[in-house]
Amino acid sequence: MIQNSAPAALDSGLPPAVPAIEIHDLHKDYNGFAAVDGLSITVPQGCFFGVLGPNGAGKTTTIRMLIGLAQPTSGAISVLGMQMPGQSYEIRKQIGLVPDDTLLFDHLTGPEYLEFVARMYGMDRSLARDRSAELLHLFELTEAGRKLIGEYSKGMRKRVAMAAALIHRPRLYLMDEPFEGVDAVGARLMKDILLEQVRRGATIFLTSHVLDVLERLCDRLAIINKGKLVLEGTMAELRQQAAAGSESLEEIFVKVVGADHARESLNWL
Amino acid sequence: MWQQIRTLAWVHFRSMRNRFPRTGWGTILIWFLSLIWYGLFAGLGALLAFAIPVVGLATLRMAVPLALIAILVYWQVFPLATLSGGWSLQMGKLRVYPIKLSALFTIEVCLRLTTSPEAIVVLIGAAIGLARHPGIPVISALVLLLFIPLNLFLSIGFREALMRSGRTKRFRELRPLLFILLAIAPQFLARTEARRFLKPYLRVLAAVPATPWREWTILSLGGFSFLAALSVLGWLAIAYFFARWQFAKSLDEDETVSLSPPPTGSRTQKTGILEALWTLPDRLTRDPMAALLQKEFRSLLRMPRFRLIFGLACIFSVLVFIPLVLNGSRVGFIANNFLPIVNIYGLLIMGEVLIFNVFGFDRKAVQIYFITPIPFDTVLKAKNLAALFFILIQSLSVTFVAAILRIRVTPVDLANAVGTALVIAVFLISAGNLTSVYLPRPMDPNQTFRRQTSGKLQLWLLGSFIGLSVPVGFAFLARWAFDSEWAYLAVLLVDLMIGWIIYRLSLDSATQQALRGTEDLVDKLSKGGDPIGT
Repeated sequence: MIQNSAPAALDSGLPPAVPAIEIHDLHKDYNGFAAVDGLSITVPQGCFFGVLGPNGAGKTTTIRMLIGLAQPTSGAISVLGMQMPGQSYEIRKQIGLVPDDTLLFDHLTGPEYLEFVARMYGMDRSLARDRSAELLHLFELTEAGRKLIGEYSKGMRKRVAMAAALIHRPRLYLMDEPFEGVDAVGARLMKDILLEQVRRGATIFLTSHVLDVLERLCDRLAIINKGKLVLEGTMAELRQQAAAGSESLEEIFVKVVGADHARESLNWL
Repeated sequence: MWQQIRTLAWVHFRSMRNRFPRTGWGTILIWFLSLIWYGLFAGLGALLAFAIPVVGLATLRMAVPLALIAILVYWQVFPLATLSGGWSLQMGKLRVYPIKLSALFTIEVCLRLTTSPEAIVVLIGAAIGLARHPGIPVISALVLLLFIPLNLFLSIGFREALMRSGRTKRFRELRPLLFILLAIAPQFLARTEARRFLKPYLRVLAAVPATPWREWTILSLGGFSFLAALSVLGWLAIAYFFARWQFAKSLDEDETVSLSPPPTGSRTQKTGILEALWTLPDRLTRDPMAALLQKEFRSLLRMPRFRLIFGLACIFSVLVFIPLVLNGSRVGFIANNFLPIVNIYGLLIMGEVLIFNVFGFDRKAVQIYFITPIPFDTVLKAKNLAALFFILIQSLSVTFVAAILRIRVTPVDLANAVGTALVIAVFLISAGNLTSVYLPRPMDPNQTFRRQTSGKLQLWLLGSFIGLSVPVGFAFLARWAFDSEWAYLAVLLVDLMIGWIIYRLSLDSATQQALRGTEDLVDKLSKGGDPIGT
């Protein structure tokens, strides 16, 4: 069922100098609270870009603004050389999204859902069915094909969501905690697929709390805290900026977000 | 235990209080209407309190058991038939905490008071009346109040049993029919010749020894006997253990079973009528409309709540009006306009899920309409077309059921019925597109017994139906004035044209609002619930 020949590289149609994502001085306020506060990030094409930050740092809000689910209070967003929100319709055609909370219809089966998503991206029905079957096979969901998504485990739901993000061969992936709830085998499979996508020219913008995964997968990393960019660069650049020697990403992260202060102990705990 | 009960009550009232600042005119109106509704029952209670003392004991001995049967049936059936079960514990949110079964059960019993407060008011009024009766000791009159816990326990037991049976495919399909039969029975009896036929049987039933109504009557009218007292205590014990048994059984059921849809079986086989239905859009239209319509048909027909409501709209709406047609001469406004009226009633029932909150079942998955490259108005049009399709099926089903029941159905009647349904649907859908984006609310597709509309939305519903009465009223008026079905159809045609213009305007407005307020729409549809469901 799966084609053995290597997939064609993506033709981005963009000059290499044009970044996949360019965020400039982005702000997002909720009733006076700054969820994103002057964030500026540039993600080159073909880059595996990881974003980490404590809970409430503004990661999900940033992704929501990138896809157009939330409007920035101020600032500029450019995705694949197009302006958001002005060209949001064109941008959406090129993006595959795996949100933190899956966007699945519980009363459809896995194949039905994948076919539905493919057709939303304008694929014809037979191609949608073929790709749906291939992706289900790839994600080891073929046997669950007759089950409704509402009956899937959390890991299976994530895998279907990932398959839905892949089905139209997007040039840019936005992924919010894609490995959450996925078992080790499933996570490994998803990582391999993502790396393959980067190899063929796609760009991945991923947030995760699993720091060792980010450390191993990402070409570049950004640490954000309280809506602001704290550090950004390759792993080596992060170590340099944080004056961290050979410390791991976890140690750098704890250091820069200021979470390593002494904690009070609770007598009863 | 009491601390946990107090805590649960505190949590519930905190969440209500936190919502209170957002209470709008809709909620105030609902309170006002509730006040009128319950006020009527309070008036009946007061009437009983004053009237019973002057009624002779012989009459009371005959009337009280019948009244108790009526209260029992009303209390147990009415909330289920109207899909409004009152407040109840949301077990999925509470079962992780170390709360004893007895504590949960006690609070559930207290919450059941909200199921049928009108029956409680009437019983209290009747008990006061009996207490004031010169021939009845006060202590005996108070026995009548024990009918309240009996009904509370029974309502818990029946509700839990029905909820669980709803998860079993075979019973789930039978349940609407059961409701229909139970709900229609009182009106059927009251309006038809069946009343005369059944009256003697009802009297016999009221006099059957050891039944709750008879034994409660004996004790509450002062005729103490050990046997009656034993019967009352026995019934209370049976009801208590039944409720507790069913409640514990529901708790024991695996949560995943209760939350997930029923087993798939042959549901997804690529054959049969349903598959033909699902592929129909492919033959009639192109993507993305075809894919969206397919998704709507597939999802809706698999949702227990939709199936129940659709079933009720197709069958219940006919049966609820039959007694009015069968009443004697078969003339009058309802008899002459049976099909259009039944269609309007069916639309009322289906409006909540098909028209006024079209993204309710999608919940947080609504995001997909904003992240895929499809125009949002196409999504709304697909939802509207799916609604029209089901409305058309409902309209034809109603005609079919009416024909089976030998109610006069001519081709002109059919045209009138479908035309009326279409015109009303266009107006309602126009309003519904706006409410769907301005007042979205997540709906649980597996929850069949609880109303899931907000107060504000109910205000919109009321406003829409009042607004609708004008164009449809003109059609009825034209028929009356010209005594012609063609006049009726002509006015409907004009209504349809006006409706189409309003629909286009509402579609544009709803699309703009959805794109402006995407974040708000998604947030509202992603919300969860409180520990106590209302």
